[in-house]
Amino acid sequence: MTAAATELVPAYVLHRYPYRDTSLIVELLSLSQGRLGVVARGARSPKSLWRGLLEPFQPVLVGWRGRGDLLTLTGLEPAGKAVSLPGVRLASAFYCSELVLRLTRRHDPVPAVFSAFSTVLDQLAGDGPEWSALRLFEKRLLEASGYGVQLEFTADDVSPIRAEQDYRYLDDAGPMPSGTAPGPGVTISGRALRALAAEQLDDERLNPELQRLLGQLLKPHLGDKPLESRGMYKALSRSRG
Amino acid sequence: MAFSPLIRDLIDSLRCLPGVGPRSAQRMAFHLLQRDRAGGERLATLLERAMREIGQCEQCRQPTEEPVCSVCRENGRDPALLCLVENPADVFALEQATDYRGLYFVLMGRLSPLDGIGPEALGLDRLEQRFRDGVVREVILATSPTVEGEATSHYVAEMGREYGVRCSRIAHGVPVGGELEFVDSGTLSHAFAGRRDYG
Repeated sequence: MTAAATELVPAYVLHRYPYRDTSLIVELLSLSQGRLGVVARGARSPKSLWRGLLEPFQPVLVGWRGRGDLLTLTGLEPAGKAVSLPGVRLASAFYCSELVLRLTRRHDPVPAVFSAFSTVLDQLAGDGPEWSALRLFEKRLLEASGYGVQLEFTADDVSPIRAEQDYRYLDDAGPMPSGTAPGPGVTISGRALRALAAEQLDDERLNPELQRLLGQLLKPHLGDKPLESRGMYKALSRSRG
Repeated sequence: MAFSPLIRDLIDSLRCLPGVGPRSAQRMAFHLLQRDRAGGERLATLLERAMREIGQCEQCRQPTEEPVCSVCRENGRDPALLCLVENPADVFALEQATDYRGLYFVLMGRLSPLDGIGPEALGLDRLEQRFRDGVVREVILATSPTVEGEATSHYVAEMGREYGVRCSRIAHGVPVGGELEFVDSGTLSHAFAGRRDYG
């Protein structure tokens, strides 16, 4: 945590809420300092030059001063075009923001989280499938936050995962051959585990089990409150049934 | 020196107004007590009445003490046109600036996933009911051009599609009398993407 940052560093806006009459408190994900809470003074006033820049998912360059938990934003410039996300994908992007907010702490620089977030936004803005972008993001976020995901070897005798076998993924240990390990955990195919390990998700049929697995692994780190963006996702995807 | 309990309570209560800190609250309190008792009493009665009686218009959710607000009751408005805005102030702005003769629906906010503001909080179930009634033919989305406003528009547009209601959105663009050089890049890119045939 520096007292004054002279250079502008790349960041994304994760969340923002009104503060006083014309200011905002902004939760940023910065490349060099991790998550930061900053006060953007006057950002909501009609004459502010920052209007329209402190939007979620817009890549920005930021400078700040101060020390402690809440800093003061001193510089803000756009860094490239804002990603434009159509409808349901917007809800997915909010979901990613919410995961970052729940899994990371302020002033804990983890560049891998930044790059995972930046990648998932680009993927969501592109034409590729939404499900694989989200599963990869969940995996990368877990790894980057230090909660390793055991995907290549079994938890007991460390033998490689075989594609044609089914496994039971134990929360705190890893995958065990199906049938050998009763108790809490998620059943998952070797094929799904290997695909996730190789980050090659091109078979959408694997999505339900991967979603279940990653959901299970994320759960202990999300806190007691349910994710707010889930409801939004359901609401925005209403027309899909 | 400490103020008497009642004066202290008054000062504290005045601080619930936006932009009023301890200092200005104190000035307001003493102004009312020393110079304008009549004004203070009128304010007190009105505040009490307003807080008790003003609710929401059954149709558009604008704040009003009547069951249905004056805009919704006005003759000659086209009930097939519905304009969706975030705040009552937006209705006023549109009424001043345009010759729109349809009705409004005021959300009193916008969808904000991370704050847990969902469709129910914005009365979107009531909007759905209006779509279901079949009178509305077109909904004009006039939410603010932010990510949350966009999410809100998307939600309403999807709902409109289900009921066969046409959806349009107000244009985002360069302010009249502004110079391109000084327009921010987001607005400029919207304006460019949304260009129209000329002449």
